[in-house]
This record gives sequence, structure tokens and C-alpha cells, in this order.
Amino acid sequence: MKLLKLLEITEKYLDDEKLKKGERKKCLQDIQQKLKKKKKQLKEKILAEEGEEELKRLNKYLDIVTAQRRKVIAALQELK
Amino acid sequence: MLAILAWGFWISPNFKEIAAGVAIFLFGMLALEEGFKTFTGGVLERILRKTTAGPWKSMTFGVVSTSVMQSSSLVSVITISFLSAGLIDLAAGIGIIFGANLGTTTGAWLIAGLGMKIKISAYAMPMLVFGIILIFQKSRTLNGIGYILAGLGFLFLGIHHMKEGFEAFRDTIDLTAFAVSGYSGIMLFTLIGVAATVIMQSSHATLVIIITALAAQQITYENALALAIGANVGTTITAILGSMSANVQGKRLAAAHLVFNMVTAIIAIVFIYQIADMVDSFSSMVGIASDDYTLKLAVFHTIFNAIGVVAMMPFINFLASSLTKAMPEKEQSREKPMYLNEAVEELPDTAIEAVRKETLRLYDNAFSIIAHGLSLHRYDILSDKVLENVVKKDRKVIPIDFDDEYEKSIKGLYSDIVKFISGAQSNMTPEQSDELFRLRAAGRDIVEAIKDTKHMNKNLSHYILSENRYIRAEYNKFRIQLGNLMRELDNIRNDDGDSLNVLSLDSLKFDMKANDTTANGDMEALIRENKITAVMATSMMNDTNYAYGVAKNLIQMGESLFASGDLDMNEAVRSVALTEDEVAVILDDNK
Repeated sequence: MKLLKLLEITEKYLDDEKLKKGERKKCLQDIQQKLKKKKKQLKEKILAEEGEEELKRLNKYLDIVTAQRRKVIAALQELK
Repeated sequence: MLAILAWGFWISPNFKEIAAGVAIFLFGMLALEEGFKTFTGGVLERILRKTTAGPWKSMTFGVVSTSVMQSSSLVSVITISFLSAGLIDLAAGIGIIFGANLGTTTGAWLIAGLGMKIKISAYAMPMLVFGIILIFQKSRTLNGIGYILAGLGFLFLGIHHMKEGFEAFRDTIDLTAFAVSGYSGIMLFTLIGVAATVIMQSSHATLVIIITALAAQQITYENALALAIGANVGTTITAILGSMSANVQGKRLAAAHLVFNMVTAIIAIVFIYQIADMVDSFSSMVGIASDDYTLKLAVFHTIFNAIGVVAMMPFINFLASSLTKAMPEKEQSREKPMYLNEAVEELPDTAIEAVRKETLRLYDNAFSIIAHGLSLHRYDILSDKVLENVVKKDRKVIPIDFDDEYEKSIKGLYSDIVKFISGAQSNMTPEQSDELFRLRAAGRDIVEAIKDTKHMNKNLSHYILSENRYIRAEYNKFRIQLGNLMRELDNIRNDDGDSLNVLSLDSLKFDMKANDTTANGDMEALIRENKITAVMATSMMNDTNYAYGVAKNLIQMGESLFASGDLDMNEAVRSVALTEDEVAVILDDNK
């Protein structure tokens, strides 16, 4: 069992394609985390904001970040 | 040189074996360097960025990387390349070089400890066989491992032949008869060590000759110490040669390397007997036999380099500032490249970073042209002034000769970037080549943005002074929108510590689309209400397109140029960035 796992890890490191896939997954997960944080911050700002112009601007950002997050999730699904 | 070698081969088969051993050893070093270069893509850059924050950290990086790769020359070349690309500063570079000097002493330990004690040629053959098989594999990782294995195999084989040669030599000639004792001997053998290393361009090769000769008792211990000091000075030749093609930063680093190794050599020569005593004490402490001169030489090599590092580390910043003063940067003209040189071509990562920085300089040159084309001052755009107020207050047209400006500050630099990219692609992975193409496209976007501004400028210069306040307001809108876009681009560019900065460009895409829609709607209303003439309307229609083109090209440029993370991260971020259609959907939802 341990040998099989060791072979799997070695294969992962020696297979350029798998290595690349793993790197991409790591990057996408990192982006996903950062966008999640950004979205949360924007939502908090929107709740506290009263000015109409600023609210419009913040909502625009929120929509953009939401669309970007959706793309990350889709890309991660595709990698699975 | 060749004639002397040929004569030597003719009169002595043992000399031939030693020389062949050196040649095989040097070939092994080349293969080893080639193998490690395979693994430099991205990984080394990441480590280097994280570990060169202070002089001690950079020194540690130098020690570790040289100990692992067993080549201070490769580390020197990589450091010069990184320095030339502006990835590290001079003090960090000097720290790495100091560390590399200390790291290279592990080589003497390996040769003296393993090379002389066990029959390493037995390991050389399987290493060569496995190495060569792996070199022919498609996988880049396997390929790199193959070169490293083959390199080690050749190193071992080279050491074996040198050892055999010197041992056979012992039966025919006693080279110790030529030994010179005292300070005159130290000076003479130091110079021989310098000359041998300059010729072979590898202190490792000199050391392996010294150690094998010492093991075969063909040189005295005292002369071997002097040869090791000389090898340390001679090794700076690699950095000096490498810096020839580098910019002034690379030359400063090579000078620092020479200063460090000269100071270390002077300390070692002056205190050679005291250091030899220290070696004896240390050797008896760790259990090295008093007649094990090869290991004692390794101890000496480490101790005198460590003394050099300890003596020079406190002066690292002083050395950096003195060299900066002594070797000043030439006044850099705007149209000449600053980062593109042969030294950065050594590594794909540094070549990419150099092209990115140079294209950013191209953008800086273009920034002034575009700003003036919009009759805005660069400093107003980069300030926090409200551009509506700037435009209202200052109703002057800034005169600009686009063709002359293009010739002076864009054309030459752009051509040099394109030329460099064409030559830098060998040894690059497809991903790295793609990144270079992307940067080339960013340069083209900049040029396109200038062209669109030029087309727009004729009407803009005319209508911002027009008596018709409606057309004046519309053209001022173009100026404000593009000025704000350039300001925002500058903010995003300066936020390069955040790997997601490129994603902020999506909000600019949104504004660009929204402005375009509004401009078209406004124009139709103005025509309908007869507030502008038909001529004005056609001009505005064309210029709306040009303004859209400027914005689109600048945003596209930003997507390629402002991403300063590693290639995988940049690629992932770009894949998440919204397309124009996706932005249009959000815009529709917002209506």
C-alpha cells in the first residue's frame, strides 16, 4: 500500500502534465480564497455605505468579483 | 597551450590520463549545470525572491544553492542574470556571491571525503547509463535528472582518471622535488592556482587536481594550501567574463566578487600558518587523522572562506554603495533598452522579467505621448486631482508632434524589444515562449494606443476650443475618461504585490463598455436635438471608436504587463479575467 502511494507521488512529480495540473489547481484555489475574502469585504462595505454613487460603484465591483469567482469554480470543476 | 598539451601527451601517458580526467570532469560540470538549469524555471526565482530580503538571507541562499548545485560559477552567472534583470539589488547579489564562496568549499569536502576514500568510478558507470537514458526522455523533469546523473557520472570518472594518473606518475617522477617552501613558495603556488583556475574556469577542477595530487603525495601540504588560495582568486574569472555582457549592475557584482576573493586571499596568505594551526586543532577535535592532508585541505578551504565572509559581511552595504559610486550608471536615454542584455538571456525567467520591465518603460514613454495627445499633463493624471476640474480650469491644447515623438521614444525601444524576444526563445518551455509572445503583443497594444490617440488628436485639439459647448463637453468627456483610465492603470501597476491586481482591470473593461454605450446614446441625442452639426457628429462617431480603441489596447496591455507573479499564477489569473462579452452581460444586468 505504502509502495503504491510512493509510486503515485513519484509519478506525479515526474509527469509534466500532472505537475502542471497540480500547479494550476493550487493557483486557482489561491485565487478563489482571495476573491472570497474580497467579496466578503465588498458586502460589508455595501451594507455600511449610504451614498448612491458609491453604492453603485461597489455593487459594480461585487458583480465583477462574483463573475470572476464563478469562473474560478468552473475551472476547478473542469480540473476534477 | 595546445602545443604544450600535445607535447605533454607525447612524452607522458600519465599526464595524458590526468588531462583527460580534467577534461571529463569539466564536461561533467557542464552537464551538471545544464541539468540544474532545467530546474531553474520559476522555482529558483520564487526562492530567490523570498530569500534575498537581507544580506544574511542572501548569503544563506548562496551557501545552500552552491552546495546543492556544486557550481559557484553557475550561481554567479544566475546572480548576474537576476541582478541585470532588476530582480534583486546589488547588496543581495553580493550576499549570494559571499555565500557561494562558502558553499563551494563543500566540493573540497566531497572530493577529499568521498572521492579519495571510496572507489567512485564504480558508481560512475551506472550513473552515466541511467543519465543518458533519461536525457532522451520527453519529460523536462526526467531530462534534467538525466543531465544531473550524467554530470555526476562524468565528474566521478574524471576524478578517477586524475587519481590514477597521479598515482602512476608517482612511480616515474616525484613532483615534490619542485616544491618551494616559505612565503616565496606560497606566493608562487598561489599564482599557479590562479592561472590554472583562469584557464579551466572552474575552481572545482583546480581543487580536484590539488586534492588528487596531494593524495598521491605529488605536492606538499603547504603548497597545496597556497594552490587552494589561488583557485579561490581565479574563480572570479567566470563572474568577470559573465559580467562583460551584463549591464553596470552585473559589472559591479563581478567587481565585488573580485574584491571579496582578493581580501580573503590576502588574509589567508598573511595568516596562513595561524590558519594551518587552526586546521590542526579543528581536525584533531573532529577526529581527522593528522596525516590526512586531503581532508585537512578541505578544512583549510572552509576556514579561510568563512573568515573572509565574517570579515566582509559587515561591509556589504558599504561595498555596494562604493561600487555604485565607482561604477556609475550611464545616463540612460529613453529610447535605449535598459534591461535587455546577454546576461539576462542566460535564464528564461530573467529574460521574461527583463522584457516585461523594458515594455513597462515603453509604456512610460507612451504615457506622456498619449497624455499630451489628450492635452493633459502627465503629472495631472498621476495626481489625485479631480480631472473634471483640471479640464475645466485649463483649456489649452498641448502641441505634440506624434511622428517625431514616436521616432524618438518608441520606435527604437520597441524594435529592440521585438528583436530580443526573437532571440531569447531558445531553451524556453512553451509556457515561457507564450509569455514572451504576450509581452510582445503588449508592446503592439501600446503602439496601437498611440496611433488611436494620434487619429483622435486632430479633432480633439479643435473641438476642446470650440464655441459649441456641447461638442466641447463631449470631447472633454473623452479626455476625462481616458485620463481616469490611465490613472487607474497606474494604481493597478503599482499594486504588483497583489497577484490579483490584473483582475482589477475588469472594472476598467466595465467602465469602457459603459462609456462607449453612453457616448453613442449622447451623440444620437445631440444630433436629434440639432445641438451639433453633421460634421461634428461624424467626427465624434469616429473618435468614439478611437477612444474605445485606446482604452481597449491599454487594458489589454495591462493584462500582460502588470502581472508580476510566477507564470502559473499569471496564467491562472488571466483565465479568470472576464472577457468583453462577460462584462457586457454584467452591464446589461446593471441597467
